[in-house]
Amino acid sequence: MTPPELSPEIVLFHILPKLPGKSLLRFKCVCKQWRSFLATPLFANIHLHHLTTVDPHRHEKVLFMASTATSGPLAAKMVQSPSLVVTHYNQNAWIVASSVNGLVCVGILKHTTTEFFDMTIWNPLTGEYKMLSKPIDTKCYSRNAMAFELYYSCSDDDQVPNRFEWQQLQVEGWSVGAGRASLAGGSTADGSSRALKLVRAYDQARELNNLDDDYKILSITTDRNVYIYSLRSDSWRKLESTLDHEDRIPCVGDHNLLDKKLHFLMGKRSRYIIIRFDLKTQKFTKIAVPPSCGRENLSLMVVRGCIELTRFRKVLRGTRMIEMWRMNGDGKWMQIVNISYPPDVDRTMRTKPLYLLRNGNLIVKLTFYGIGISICKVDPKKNYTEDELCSGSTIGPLRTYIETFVSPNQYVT
Amino acid sequence: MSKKTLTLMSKDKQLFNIEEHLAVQSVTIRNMVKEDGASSVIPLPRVDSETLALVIEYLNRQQAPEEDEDYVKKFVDERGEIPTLLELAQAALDLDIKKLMDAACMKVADLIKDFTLEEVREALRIENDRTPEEEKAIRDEFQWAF
Repeated sequence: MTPPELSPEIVLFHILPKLPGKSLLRFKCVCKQWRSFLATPLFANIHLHHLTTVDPHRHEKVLFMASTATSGPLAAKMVQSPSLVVTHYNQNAWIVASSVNGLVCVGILKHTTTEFFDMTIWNPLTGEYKMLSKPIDTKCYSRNAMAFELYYSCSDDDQVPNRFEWQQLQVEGWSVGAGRASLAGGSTADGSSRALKLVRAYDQARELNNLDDDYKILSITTDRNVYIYSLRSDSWRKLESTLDHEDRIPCVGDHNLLDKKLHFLMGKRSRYIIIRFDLKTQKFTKIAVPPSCGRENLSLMVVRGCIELTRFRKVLRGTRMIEMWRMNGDGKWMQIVNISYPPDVDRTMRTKPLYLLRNGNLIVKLTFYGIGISICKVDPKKNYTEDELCSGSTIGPLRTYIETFVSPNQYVT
Repeated sequence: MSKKTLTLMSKDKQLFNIEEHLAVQSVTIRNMVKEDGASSVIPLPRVDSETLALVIEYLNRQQAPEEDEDYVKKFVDERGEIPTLLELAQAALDLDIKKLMDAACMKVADLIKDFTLEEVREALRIENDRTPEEEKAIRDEFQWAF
């Protein structure tokens, strides 16, 4: 077979965006054109668009940080299993605060303080990062802050950056133009110059139309003050909204983003409640947890587009139960998991289920008092054999994560 | 009334007939029909006859809309050779048949994702324009991905 005449647009715009992040990182070496194209915001957004629209949650992974490795700070060292990413760091306290579109917000702690010394937005895949300017209120950086959540914001209701522009470019200039040129006997050289033109047109369109596209951080302090950080302007501002005083119950520290709304699980003893913050209206509302939820080890996560609550309950004779609920679109809770877990063999250990994988396996956190923490994968079908994924003296919270090329420095001119 | 038929001509001057209402799944052909009625033969100077035969087979499919996604996936799966898929993707791009192009490109991406750099260059016919030193520098930077 003779080699087909292959236009660069097929490869650059239609094959590369369909590749996983890790392959793309290697393929930077293929040729100079690929390396420069892979570094453009246009590519980052087409790739992200593909990840989040075609089978949206297929590429979702779980990410957390552990303090075991000897690599440099903010180095992209990951240990991967099919759905898990572990990032390592050598300073004692890098904690993942939150993650969106492949960007991760990380707080840096100095050994004994309860405040983050610095905050950074980091892309673990490319290793790029940006240190944030200091907040107006130092309480924003408190480790006990009620919430610290990174999110993507755009006046367009879409969750994906610049989808509108990309589709418009596709319709107006790209596919149609390509078809006509080829029928007239166009060559691949045309394709190449069109590719360049598109990158330029995209940059201009972004400049002109989308000044409000931004990555933001919502921070709620222990005083119930609400602050928002903007990556575009690298600055903080205070919001009028505050939480009601009657809600002075301590946060249990789990918060997650869904549909432009942040969800926090708060509570003490038997009073758990989910607080929802609407990013658009900037108002707080409350959601009740399932009535059968108890008082032990409740945790919240947004997994594959749904809110999930997990509870780990001790019953008689050391047997434990794992229960999970998922909130459906209509706001009703449905129990999805209800299994018993074998009794503790070693009494110095505490177990907390964290995440239910698609194949039914669970990711659990084992705390060995005075020794450290271990993250394991547990297969309920195989007599609960624990498969250790990583261990360390401290391990940050788990976050769902996708590997993208989104740059934390995209707004720096 | 008989259905209107269009004639497409491949790079190697072979003629293919296809009913107009099926052919206009291609946005490019639809636009041509709209513009000048396209009564004569439509030349496709970049598409060879084997690829055009595949495209015609795809356009002639008789699938219920809800099974279409699975059909197009199976259609490209059965033609799992990278050169064939690339030809098909290129023809689908030129003719603006989005579903077919996306499926063919997805399959290529799936096939090459674990390839070595050399294999990728060979499969996509890309010339290596880097010196070994440059390549090593990039490799070192992202060593964990290799």
